[in-house]
Amino acid sequence: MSRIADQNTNQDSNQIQVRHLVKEYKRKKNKGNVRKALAGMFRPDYEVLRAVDNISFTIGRGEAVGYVGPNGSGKSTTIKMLCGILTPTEGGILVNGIVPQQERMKNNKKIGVVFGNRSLLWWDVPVIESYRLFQRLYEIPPNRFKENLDRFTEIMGIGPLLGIPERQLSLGQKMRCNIAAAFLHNPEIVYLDEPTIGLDSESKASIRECIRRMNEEEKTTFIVTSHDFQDIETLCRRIILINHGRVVVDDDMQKVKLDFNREKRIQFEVDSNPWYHKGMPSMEGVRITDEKPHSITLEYDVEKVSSIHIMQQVSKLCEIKDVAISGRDIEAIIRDIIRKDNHSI
Amino acid sequence: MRRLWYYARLWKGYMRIGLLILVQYPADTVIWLVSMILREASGFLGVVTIANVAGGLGNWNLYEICLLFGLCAVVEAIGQAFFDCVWEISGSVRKGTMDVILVRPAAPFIQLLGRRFHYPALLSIIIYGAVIVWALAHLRIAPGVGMLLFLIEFIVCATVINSGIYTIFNSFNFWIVQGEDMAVLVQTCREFAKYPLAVFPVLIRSFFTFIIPFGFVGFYPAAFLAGKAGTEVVLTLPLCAGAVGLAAAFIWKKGLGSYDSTGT
Amino acid sequence: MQKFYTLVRMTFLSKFAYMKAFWFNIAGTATSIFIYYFLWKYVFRSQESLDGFTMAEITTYVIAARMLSSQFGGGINTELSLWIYEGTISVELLRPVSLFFTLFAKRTGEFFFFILFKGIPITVLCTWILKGALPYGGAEFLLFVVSVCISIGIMFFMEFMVGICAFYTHGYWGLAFTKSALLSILSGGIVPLFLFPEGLASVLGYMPFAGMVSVPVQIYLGKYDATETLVYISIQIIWVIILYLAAKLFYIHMLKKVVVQGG
Repeated sequence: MSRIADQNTNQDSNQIQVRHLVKEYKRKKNKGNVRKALAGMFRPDYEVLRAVDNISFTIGRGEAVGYVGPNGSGKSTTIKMLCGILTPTEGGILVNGIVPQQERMKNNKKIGVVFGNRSLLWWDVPVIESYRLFQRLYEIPPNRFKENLDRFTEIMGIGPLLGIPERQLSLGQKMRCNIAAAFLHNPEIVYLDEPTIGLDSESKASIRECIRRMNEEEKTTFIVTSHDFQDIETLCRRIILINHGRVVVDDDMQKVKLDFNREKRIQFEVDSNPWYHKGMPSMEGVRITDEKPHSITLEYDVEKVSSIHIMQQVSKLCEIKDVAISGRDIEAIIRDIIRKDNHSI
Repeated sequence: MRRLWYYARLWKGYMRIGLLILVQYPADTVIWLVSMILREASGFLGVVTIANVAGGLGNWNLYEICLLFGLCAVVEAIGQAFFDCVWEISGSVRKGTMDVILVRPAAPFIQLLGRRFHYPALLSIIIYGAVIVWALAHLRIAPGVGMLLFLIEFIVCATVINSGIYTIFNSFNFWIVQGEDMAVLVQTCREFAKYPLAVFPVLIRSFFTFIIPFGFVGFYPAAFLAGKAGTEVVLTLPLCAGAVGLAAAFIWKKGLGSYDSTGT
Repeated sequence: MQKFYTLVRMTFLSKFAYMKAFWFNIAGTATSIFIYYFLWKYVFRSQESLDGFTMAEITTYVIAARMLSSQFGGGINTELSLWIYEGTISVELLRPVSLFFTLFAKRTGEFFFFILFKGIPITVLCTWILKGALPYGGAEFLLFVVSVCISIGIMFFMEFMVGICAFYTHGYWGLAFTKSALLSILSGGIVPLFLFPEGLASVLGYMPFAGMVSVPVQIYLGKYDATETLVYISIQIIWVIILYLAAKLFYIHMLKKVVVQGG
């Protein structure tokens, strides 16, 4: 009895376990002629591309995790392995205590997936018909289906769209319908792969709202990959940053911001820029990012130099008309981390 | 049993969607209908004209040839109605839309088939069914329980063989780029099976009996019905269907296993 | 002219990129030649000639007819239909050359590719292996070439009209299949037209479809005398003009549609 309870709590904090995950794409070398390709079916001749390189993490029930990284860093590949679409080359995945590749259909019942670049609905029929088919696919009891349908049409504001075939919807409308579809069967985990790509701010806002509510009210676990750091910032408390298929940062969002936000930016509007065309005298921990005849923008390390000191230095040489100091947003922070990571390789 | 019920309900759902698509595009429905009938009829016209000129082909008279054609066409029409989506494997692999199927909790093959039904093909089933009945009547083959049972056996087994072969060759798309072209070539080769195989050289005949057994989709069953072949056809038909079905399932599973979604 | 040449060349080269897929296409045409060859061979077991055709001549008929009608599977109609579905038609209409011109150049490129990589090699090979009849004479061969070239015009305008039908449908496969099956039957690509019932055969002989397969092949085999040849080639030319006018009407109609729908 106690063992089962133990397992349950264990599953709650380790709903998704990823251990030393590796995915190598084998790119066929001789795709060229059919004979070789046929031979290649049985005796492969490949070059190996390591898209995911030894990734490990654990995600607990009800967490919302932002899974970010530059293009081609292995984000989508990881998500697809978590869904069970792709088989890992090495390492293991355990989702709700099962291996998604081995028991894919069992796993599929408990997950919802949204791909930003491809739709899960039927192109030619009214959206509601796709939803009715999902009811059969996921065996959703009629009253629960109705309840969920009402709830998500309300949250996503898609009530008027239900009778329209998907092909006649705009990109934002399509995505909202797709997201609602992913929640109809009360999934425990929802994977969103670039959910807001190419959308207007209104659609983005309603999608974010939906995710936030589901995360709070239903304790649905979310894994979101996005280029839009505002998505990640508003939705996720935790961030996993990967680069070249490896985890670079896996931490609390606020902590990442604090840790890496040592750099601040200071911008001066001046009567005339004393260093313009003359070069900057070196000041420790400060670098010029932009200079124009009447303005200078500097970035500085808060631990090495204070803003007061910089202002004093600048005011010695010219008259300051305006000053603006800003911290960097998560996007800039991440760009910086990745730049450093790329250098270290 | 519960699983079976689930798939029955799901299938019904897919059929409903198919019907909705059908009424959405009435012009397409008409064109599909015309194209399906014409595709089979063009070959039919050829052989009937040739048989007419020569007064039959080999020991096959005109009605027997019509019977053979009717059998072939009915099986193809059933394939077009319910198994046409195996031709979409190439597109799905290339565009990565196979992903969508793989994140849902139902057998991928059923989901693939459910993408689209071509109801217009049901009408061509009726038309070619009528051709069969007409030919049987002219051949003075007495209808009976035995014949009915054989026809049922034929429909089931030949559909498995026909669509199984298409599935096998379309599944090659999981490995090679030219899979679809290969499948189209196989479909062209199927033309041979619409004519009395006895007319062709032994090499071709054995090819369509043992390697790609399209012979069982028309020639052998028609020969049996016309009294040109014995009961061995009744026995080998299910054996052949079983072999093709298993091979198709194996290759589809293997292909799906080696599916590497396009890494977007 | 320079533009035309560039477009033809581009189509030719892009076809070349799909050479591997083309092998299967060639094999498919060869297969269908073999099917009809064997069927006819069976017929000729019990008779020496058929309506004045010897086995060698029928063999040549089968090779040339299957070869010419294998073009029905391609053509610019699929491309035009795709443009219409995807809405890129409005972009194509904005180009500084007319749609007719672009598509005709594409069709010409496709035709040259077909002749060079499939038409000539497979015809020569099959005629040699299956012992088909050679062209009746030098003049006949030249007139055959002329007739085939004119038939491109007939094919092009028909394909153009079929392509435009995509405004009313949502899948182009049905259209493409219908076109290819119908043209094969009516042009004499499956069986020689003279085997059809008499009345039907003579009507079909004067239709534009015959100009694509039956007329050139009959000329090749020397089945028409000088006046007949002249008459049939004139009929081909007249059909090109009529079809051009019809296609033009379709085109004007399409322009209206594009303006209304916005592509």
